[in-house]
Amino acid sequence: MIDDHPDRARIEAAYRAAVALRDCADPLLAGQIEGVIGRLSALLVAIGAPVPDDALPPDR
Amino acid sequence: MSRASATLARYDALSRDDLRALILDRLQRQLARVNGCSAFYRDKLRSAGTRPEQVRSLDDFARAVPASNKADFLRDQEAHPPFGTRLCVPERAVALVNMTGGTSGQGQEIYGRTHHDIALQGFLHYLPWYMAGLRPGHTALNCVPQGGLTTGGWGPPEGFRVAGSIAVNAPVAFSTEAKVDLALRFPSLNFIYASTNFLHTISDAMRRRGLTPSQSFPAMQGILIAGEGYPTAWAHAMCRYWGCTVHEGYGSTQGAGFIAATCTKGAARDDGKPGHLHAFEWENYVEVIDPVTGRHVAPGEEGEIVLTNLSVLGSPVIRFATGDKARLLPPESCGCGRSWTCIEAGTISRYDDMMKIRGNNVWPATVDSVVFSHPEVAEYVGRVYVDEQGRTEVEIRYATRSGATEGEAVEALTATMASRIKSRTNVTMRLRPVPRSELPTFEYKARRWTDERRQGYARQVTRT
Repeated sequence: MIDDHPDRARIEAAYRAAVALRDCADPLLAGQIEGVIGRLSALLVAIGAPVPDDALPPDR
Repeated sequence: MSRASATLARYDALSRDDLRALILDRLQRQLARVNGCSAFYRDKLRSAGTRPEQVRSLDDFARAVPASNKADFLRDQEAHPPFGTRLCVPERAVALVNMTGGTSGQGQEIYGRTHHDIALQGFLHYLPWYMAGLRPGHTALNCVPQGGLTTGGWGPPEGFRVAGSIAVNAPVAFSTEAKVDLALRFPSLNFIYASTNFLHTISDAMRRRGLTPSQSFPAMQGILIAGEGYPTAWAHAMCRYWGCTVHEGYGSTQGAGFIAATCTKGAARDDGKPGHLHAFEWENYVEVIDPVTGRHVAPGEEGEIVLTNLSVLGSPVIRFATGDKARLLPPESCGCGRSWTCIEAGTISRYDDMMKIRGNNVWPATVDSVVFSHPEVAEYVGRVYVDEQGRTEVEIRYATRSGATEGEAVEALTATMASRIKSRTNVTMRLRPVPRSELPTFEYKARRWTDERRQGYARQVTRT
């Protein structure tokens, strides 16, 4: 299998931090936050990691 | 100083076995996901008696998972509008709608893209550009029409954002001359993305002005073309004329971007043979199958490209039979050391008779449906060619049943058909009434269309 990318841990941490931003209740920012999460999940995939289970917006 | 990509280096170094293991891992996750989220794929698997957990190898996958095609998708969409039951996410997770061009006359496939898919789409556009030399901070000219509904329209601007490049997206409405003027405002230009035909057209426009690209754009790193085939000699001539390597990418809406691209050796190899397109198989698993037997073809043989998206979330395709005909090559035949599946560059064509004209997919049946909806038309023939200015042109010669070639009624008929053809295909075609004796009589299958573009490109090579 493919070796871990040298920056995988940092990208995963950024992804987790972005997912935590979903707590923000401001609807003006919600789309941008999902955009950032989507970019980071695509970044994880680009380096060979699986698609995160929580990459999609939760039910509201 | 330019640094190498750790990401690409890891894929470059994968053995064939390790690459297949990575594909299988992603494939198993994707199959489990679509089986849980999509009634379309659940029914497909169930009808074949396959459970996702039974797919333990890529051979199992080919044997036990049925292929889908455009007609399957259209039926599903019609029954469950707008996305069909192949949508694998709740509709609220769709951030962008992509559709295929609709010029087949069969209908448009609809794809729901999530934020993740949009970013992935950008990455899948940037990947071949990176391999062609585009780096952050480079100035890039995009000559492919942007926006609209297609992945080909949305992907490139997103790809340039992902690249971190200075994107110059040439407006659709700009003429070739205006695009040359735009390019000349950026003498630091490093990269061009264009259809095969447009590279041909803009090169001729530059030549007519007495411009030499290698002098006008001394920092050019690479050019990537897509969408149409070409002779290798033409690609060589383009490399010489532009003073950089010309690359080819193969992509589609179903692939959510580029699926394969040439390596640093480019589209025209030094040995005069066609280049090698290397498939980004960890994102789109590529099978090349014999459309009659459904079996994988051997290296050196031609077959149909069948695609599976491994990390698309919204509307993934699983074993989608593209209708694209390609020659499979052994990965080691390139010599670049990659183990990725290889297909021959410059020669991808269609199993049906679709023609790619100025970036539009045009099926003869679409033109037939317009022309023969006028009962006064007896026959027609179409010709796609490259004119002296290097532009792709389409001429339709048609004959009326009455034999008339002039007069008000014929003029009105010509104008009506030209307008309807433009509206159905997005391509302007020049219609010319001729006597019936000028046109052939088709006794068996009608072969109404000729594509003379390769000869046109070859003529340009001799002038270079």
